[in-house]
Amino acid sequence: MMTEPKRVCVLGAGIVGMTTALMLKEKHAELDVTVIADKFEQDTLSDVAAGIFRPSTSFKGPTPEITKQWLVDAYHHYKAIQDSKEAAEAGVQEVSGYVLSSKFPEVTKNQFLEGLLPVYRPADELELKICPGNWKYGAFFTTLVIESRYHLPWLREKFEMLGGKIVKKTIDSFNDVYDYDLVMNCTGFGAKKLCLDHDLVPIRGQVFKVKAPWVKMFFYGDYDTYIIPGIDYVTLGGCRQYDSFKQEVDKYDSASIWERCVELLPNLKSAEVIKEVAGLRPHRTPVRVEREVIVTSGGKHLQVVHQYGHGGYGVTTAPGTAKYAVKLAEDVLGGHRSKVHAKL
Amino acid sequence: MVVKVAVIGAGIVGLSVAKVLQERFPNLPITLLADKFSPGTTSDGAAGLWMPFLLGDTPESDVYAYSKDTWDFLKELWNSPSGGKLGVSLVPCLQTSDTVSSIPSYSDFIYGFQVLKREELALYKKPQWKQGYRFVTFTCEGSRLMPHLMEQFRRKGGNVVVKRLECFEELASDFDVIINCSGIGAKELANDLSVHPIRGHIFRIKAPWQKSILIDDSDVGNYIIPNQDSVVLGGTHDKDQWDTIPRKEDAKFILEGCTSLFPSLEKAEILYEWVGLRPGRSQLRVELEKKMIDGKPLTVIHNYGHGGSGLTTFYGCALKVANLLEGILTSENYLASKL
Repeated sequence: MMTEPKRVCVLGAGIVGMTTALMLKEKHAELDVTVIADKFEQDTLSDVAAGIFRPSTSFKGPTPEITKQWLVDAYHHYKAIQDSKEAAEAGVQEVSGYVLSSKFPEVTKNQFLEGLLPVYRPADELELKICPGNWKYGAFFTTLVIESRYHLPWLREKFEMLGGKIVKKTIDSFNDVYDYDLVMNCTGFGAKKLCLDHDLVPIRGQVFKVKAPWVKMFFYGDYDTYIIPGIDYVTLGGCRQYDSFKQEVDKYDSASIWERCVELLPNLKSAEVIKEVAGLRPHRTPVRVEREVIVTSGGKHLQVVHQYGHGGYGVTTAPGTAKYAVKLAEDVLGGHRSKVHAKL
Repeated sequence: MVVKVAVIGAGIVGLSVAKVLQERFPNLPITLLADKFSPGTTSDGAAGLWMPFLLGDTPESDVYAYSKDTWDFLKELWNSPSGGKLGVSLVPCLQTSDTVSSIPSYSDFIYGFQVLKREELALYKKPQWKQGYRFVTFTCEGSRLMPHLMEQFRRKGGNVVVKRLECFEELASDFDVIINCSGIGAKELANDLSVHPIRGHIFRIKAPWQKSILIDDSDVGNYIIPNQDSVVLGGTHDKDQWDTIPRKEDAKFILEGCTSLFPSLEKAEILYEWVGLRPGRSQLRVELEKKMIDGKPLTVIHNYGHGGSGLTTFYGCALKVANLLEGILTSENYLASKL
C-alpha cells in the first residue's frame, strides 16, 4: 500500500510563513505543503518593513543561546543569497550606515551584531559630524536589507516551482485546518485571535516610502528616527506605539517622522514621497516557536508548530526561527510526542 | 577699465571656476567659452568618485589641499536640501590593491578610514590582494551638478559662447584674463606636450541594489561605483591612447571582472558603454602666466591636468584660481575700484 504524503499547511504568507514554507519544501520534497493566508505580498506587514537586518538588543527567544542561534542562522542564510547571482531578484542587498545618539551610549552597542556582521565599529569624531545635530555616540556597521517587496514574490516563485500550493482563505480557528497532518502557525498578528494569546501585543509603526536614489546608506537618530535605503525606495521612520491598534496612517506621526528624518538628513527635502503606511508589529516576549497539540471540536489531535511574535524583527529573524520550526516539524512528522496539549 | 574675464571649458573644472569667480567678484563680467557642454563632457561620463587618482607627480600637499577643499564643498552640498538632486551621494568604499603603498594623507579626514587586517582581507579570497582600505566617501555626478552650475552662472549674468578655440590669441582683443580649463584640449591650446589622455572604458548598468563602492587599484583592476540611476563598472587607464572606440577585450575584462566580485551584477541590464579620455598631465597645473599679444597684456590662469581627479579637486582648484585672480586684480595694473 502506498503511503499518502504527509499534508502540511502553513498559515500566513508574510516573511515568516513564506520562508518556512519554502524551507520545508526544499528540505522535504515529498511533503504536500499548502500556504493558507488572507493577505499576500503588498498587503502583508512584511511589505511595510524596511527589512534591515538589525535585531533589538532586547529581542528574546526561549533562551539566550537559541536566540543567538536564530540570528546567526538568519544572517548566514541571507548573506548566502546576497553573495549569489540571485541577490537582486531576492531583494537582498548589503548596506552600511550609522546609528547615532545625542544621549545614549548603549544605542551604539548590539550584542547580536558585534561579531556577526563583517563590520561593526564605533563612529569616529568626524563621522559624528556628518549629520547635523549634536551627536555624541555612534556606530558604523555593514548589514543586509531584505526587501519583502522582492523577497516574498521570489519565495513564492521558488515554492510553487517545487510544487507548493497557495490558497487565499481566512482562517478563524484551528478547526478549519483539522485535516492536515501538521499546521505551521505563522500568522503574526493573527495569532492574537487565533490562539487567544494575550501576550501578543501590537507595536504600531508608521513609515514613508520615498524616492531618493542618492541615499545609499542608512542613518538612525534618537527616538526611532531612521532612514533606510531599499532597492528602489528609501524607508523613513518611525514610531513604536505599544498596544496601539491603529492601522491607518496618523497625520501627527507623519509630521513627526518627516521632521525628524529631514533634520537628520536635510537632502531628504528633495525626496519624492511615494506612499505612507502603518503597520502593527506582532510583538511577543518571548517570540513563540514551539509545538502544541490542539484538540479540535471534532476531537482530532492536531499537530501545530507555532512561530509567531517576532515583533519588529520578522524579516531579521525569519530564516532562523524557520530553521528551528522546521526541526520541530520534523519531530512531529517523525512521530515524536509533544508535551503540550490544548483543547479547542 | 573693466576687467573682462573668459573661462575656457565647460566641464566641471570650468563651470566651478565660473561659479566661484561670480561669487568672489560679483561685478566682474565673465564669459564661458567651450565647444562641449553637459551632457557631452568627460565630467558627464565619469562616476564622480571623490578619490585622488592619476595625478602623476603633483605634489602631495597640493593634492591634499585641492581635494580637501572639494571634500568640504561636497559635504556642504550633501547637507543642503538639494544635495542629492545636485548629484552628491555618501557611499561606503572598499579599496584594494596588489601592491602595498603608504597610507594616503587624506586618510585623516575621509570618513572612517581603516586598514584591513590580513584575516579580513583573506575573507575575500583574492590572494592577489595585498592591501585593503575601508572608508566612506562622496560621489558627485557631474551630469547633475553641471546643469545647476550653468543655470546659476547664466542667472547671475554670465555669458556663454559656443566656440572651439584654436589659440589664446583669438581672445586677446576681447579679454584681459583667460582662465584655461580646457582639460585634454590644453595639449593644443597651451602647446603643452606633457598633457596626455588616460583612456577609460566603462559600462553603466542598472543595479540599484548595489550600495557600495569597490575599487581594485591593482594595475589590472576593476571598479564598481554606484551612481543614482546607474552603476559604473570599470575600467581601464591606458596612457596616450586617443581612440574612443570600445575594445572587446576591455569590455570582457570589465564585465567578467566586476561580476566575479559581485555575482548579482550578472543579472543587471546594461544601459550603455562609454570610453572617455581623462585629461592627464605629468602634474596638475594651476598657475598664472603673463603673455603679451600684439602689445597688449593677457593674463592666462591655467587650470588643467586633473587626470582622474576632476571631481575630486575641482572646487579646491577653483578657489586657487580665484586667489590668483584676486592677486592680479589688486595689483598696480588693475585698480580695485574699477571692479
